[in-house]
Amino acid sequence: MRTKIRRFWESVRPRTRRGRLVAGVVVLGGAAVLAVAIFAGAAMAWNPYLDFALHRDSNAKQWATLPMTFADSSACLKCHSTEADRLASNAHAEIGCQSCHGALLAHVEAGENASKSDVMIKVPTDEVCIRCHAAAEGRPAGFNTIVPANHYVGQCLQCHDPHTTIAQRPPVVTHPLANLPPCLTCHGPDGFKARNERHPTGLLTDQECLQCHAAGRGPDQLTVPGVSVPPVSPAPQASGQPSPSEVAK
Amino acid sequence: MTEPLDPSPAREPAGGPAAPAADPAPGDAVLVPLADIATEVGQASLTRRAFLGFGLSVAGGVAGAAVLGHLFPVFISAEDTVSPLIPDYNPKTKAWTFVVDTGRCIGCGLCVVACKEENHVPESSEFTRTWVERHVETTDGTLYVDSPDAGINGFPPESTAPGAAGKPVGSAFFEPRLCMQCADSPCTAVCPVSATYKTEDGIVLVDARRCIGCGFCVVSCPYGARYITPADEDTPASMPGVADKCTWCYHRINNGHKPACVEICPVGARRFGDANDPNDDIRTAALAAGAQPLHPEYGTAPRVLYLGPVLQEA
Amino acid sequence: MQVIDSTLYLGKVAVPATPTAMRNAVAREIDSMSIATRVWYALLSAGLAIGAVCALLALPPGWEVMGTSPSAEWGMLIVGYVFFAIMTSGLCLASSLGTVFGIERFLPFEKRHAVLALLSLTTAFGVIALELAYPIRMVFGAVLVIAPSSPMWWMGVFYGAYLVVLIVEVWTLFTPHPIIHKYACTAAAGIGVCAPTTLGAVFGVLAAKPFWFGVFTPVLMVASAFVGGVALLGIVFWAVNRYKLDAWPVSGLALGSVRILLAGGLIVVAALIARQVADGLTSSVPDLRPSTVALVAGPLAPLFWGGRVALGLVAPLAILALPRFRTPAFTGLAAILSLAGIFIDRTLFVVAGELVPRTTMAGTVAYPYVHYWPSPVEIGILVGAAAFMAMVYSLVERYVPMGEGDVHVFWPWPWLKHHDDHDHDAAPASAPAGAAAGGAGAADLATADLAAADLGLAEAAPARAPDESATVPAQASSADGQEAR
Repeated sequence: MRTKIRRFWESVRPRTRRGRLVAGVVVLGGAAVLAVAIFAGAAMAWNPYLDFALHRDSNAKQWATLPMTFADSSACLKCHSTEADRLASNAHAEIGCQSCHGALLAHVEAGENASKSDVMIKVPTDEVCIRCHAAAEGRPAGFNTIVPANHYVGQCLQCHDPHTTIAQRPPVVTHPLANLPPCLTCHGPDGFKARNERHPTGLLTDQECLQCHAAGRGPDQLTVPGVSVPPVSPAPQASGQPSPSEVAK
Repeated sequence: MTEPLDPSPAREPAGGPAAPAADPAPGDAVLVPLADIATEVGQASLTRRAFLGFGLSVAGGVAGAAVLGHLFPVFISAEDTVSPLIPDYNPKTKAWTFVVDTGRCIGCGLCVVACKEENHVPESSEFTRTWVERHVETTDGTLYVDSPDAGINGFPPESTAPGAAGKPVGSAFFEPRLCMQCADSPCTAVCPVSATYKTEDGIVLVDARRCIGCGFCVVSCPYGARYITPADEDTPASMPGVADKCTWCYHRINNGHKPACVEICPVGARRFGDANDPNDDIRTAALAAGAQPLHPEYGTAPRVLYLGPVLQEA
Repeated sequence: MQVIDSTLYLGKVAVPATPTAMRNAVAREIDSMSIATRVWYALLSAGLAIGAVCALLALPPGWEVMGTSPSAEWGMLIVGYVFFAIMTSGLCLASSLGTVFGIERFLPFEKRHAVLALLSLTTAFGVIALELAYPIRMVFGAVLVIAPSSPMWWMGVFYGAYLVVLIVEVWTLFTPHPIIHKYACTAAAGIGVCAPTTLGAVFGVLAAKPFWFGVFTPVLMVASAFVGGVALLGIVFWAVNRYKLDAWPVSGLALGSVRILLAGGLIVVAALIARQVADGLTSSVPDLRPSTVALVAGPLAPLFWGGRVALGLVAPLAILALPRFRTPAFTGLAAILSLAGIFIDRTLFVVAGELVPRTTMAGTVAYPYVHYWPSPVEIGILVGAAAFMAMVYSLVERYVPMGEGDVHVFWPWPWLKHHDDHDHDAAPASAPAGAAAGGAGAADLATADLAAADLGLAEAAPARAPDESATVPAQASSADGQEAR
């Protein structure tokens, strides 16, 4: 055996200094390059295969321990019971806070310090209301919708309080209506008491004006300014009061 | 071609060994045939030498890699793979059930928003774990489906499907969609590197470290629930070019929470629970109401159950 | 093997060993080329450059440089991979008639098929590596974890084995290892059937894509493979015949064989496509009909009727059938048309399957059809792949003796051995005459010898103890070989 090895070595060993040098450089250099390549390849590709089981717990654990951004709805009630109570009587009662106020886990985890920190809740914009309540094909029957073009978009919360029902209805007519020219004579764009920008553009008939502004009015009924108007009865449908034009349509 | 293409070496002066001798290029030394090693130790030793050198290199490379592995401990240790996933969670006892009620869905798209935020799904609407689509049947009986930007911004009044505009609508409903977590999932079966797998609680997950991004699972999914992550955006597994899909918010349900889309749905169109839990109303509220999977005829045993108009469609 | 100054000679192949020598050699080569040859290589170099740039763009995972989307996840790179991969199998299937079944008529296919098949497979692997986001992981993943339920895994198994077998086949083709060669050829022919079948199964198992689904997909894939391989051989033999690359007149004979095989293959493919269209239009399978309509009357119709049917099937069949067209030039034309037809066919197949998805794909509703248009990067990679294959093959044809004289003829089943079997168990000298004169010298191509030559060069240089008598005969025999050619 030893003779064989020696004979083999004799047949292959480099015979000159330069040959030895080249052989050494080639073998050692090749070994170094290969070592780095194997190490890098194994580090990149072997790790995922350490766990051969079909149910790969290491990866499942990675998925299972990702950070959350949304809290449980129940977490809000610990501090915000007032809003929760108001909400309970409302058609929005079953909506979680985060649907309108955004992801709140950071806010919840801040606890007592929430109000001081920058993890404040998002104040919803009209976009949130429109997202659900704009009329669109496919909304379930009986769901309250408006046509944004005919509604006072941009000012939802001025009239609607999403936490209760309709909080603030349009102001009622407080002067007699008998023997008067059409509403827009005075309240139109050129009138002395123009309607504000929340109103739909274009001309409206008195009928349409009174759809919203009629509560407590009467053709001959004089309501003295400063005398309280009878309280508004809750809308037949809780939120998303149909607009005049919606009804007209 | 007028001039014949002739790459034959026979005509090339440089093609044969005799040629350089006949026509030495300027600057070349006089051509002296040097000793062939074969004359010294025999032809066989050439191959022997090559194999010996190669073998030594490979052996040295493996040994060197082993040394490097000890010097730089980048390999994950066996402890990392140990069960349980998280304390107090026993996947075997869970019968997770996801119910979608298309009769309730108002198409607000908040679920899509919540999913993107919770799971770091790329912003572009092309990459979506869950989406809402609108099925509109016009009075002439044509069915139109649309899902503008996957429904992330809600829906415009009329269907955006080409040809649907202006037609009188017979019936319409919204259909939220997500991964069906099929019990017999084609994506798991076709993955060539076993990157997609099913957990003990029945959730189909993707091991991003194994995924090669071939897209086989994307084309194999009859529910279109998968996509390949892009490079320039934050992604759920923080890795570009791999398959991704809805996990039913695996990190939430493992910790006793509901998936983000369920949490945010304002009308309860998405419900989630453990059918094995007697206190969970998912069984009575949904299963008893006759919820059915979507397209069971695809044969993948989908595990998301649907209530509402979609059942009449199918 | 010998070293003369700065040039290393391996048999008949001269390898310049220093930068200056390399520069001189390249300059001499270019000087010796005809204008047409220079244009040919210039075009291929340009294609390679385009391909290289596009490949670099496609390398980082997740970069959206492809035209694909979740709705159409598989695009032109998959088409290219399928095209090159099935062409490999087709080459082996065609040449197996000679190498495995011993039909002498098809023997001239042997040597060129092996080189082309290896090249084609390498190209296919290159294309798929650019399509995949993490090709390195595939090597680990497919080897370390078996996934028997995945047709793609089986495809990897077969094509991986294919690569090994083809390397062995090509190696033994140029070295005197007839026994190994014989079994490598048989194995290559066997895998030549299995590999495109599993490649077809990759598409055929996808119930989500009704157009791809079904048992006929693997069958069509094998048939397309056969036509593609034969057509490529036809093109090569036409070029050999046209430009007199071979001393032997066999390329003319081989063109006759190509004509027969190509006609048969085209008829089978035509029947399979007719079946696919007829079945798709009448099927009750949901969503199959819209895909087929998209193919024959939708956005793909011009490519289908004009490219696939007219140019890819009818025209080559007519050329092959009409007696007046039985010339090498027209056979070459038919082969080119058939190969283009196969490429168009694979494109239509992949695209049509995704054009009408069953469902909303990751939130994208495609109506009426999915939008997919190949990006410049995808096209560039395919151009580069084709240029790579043509370039390497041109160089091989230029510098490596590809004459049929070196063909190993064998009969793999000894019990069926017939009397005039050419057995090469003896010395390679028993090979047919002709270009085999320098056969032993040509055998030195093995890479191991190349590696050894480096050491030999380094060592022998200072020794300066030339034994000229040892080198002269080899040189002389090489020169003889040159003259004989």
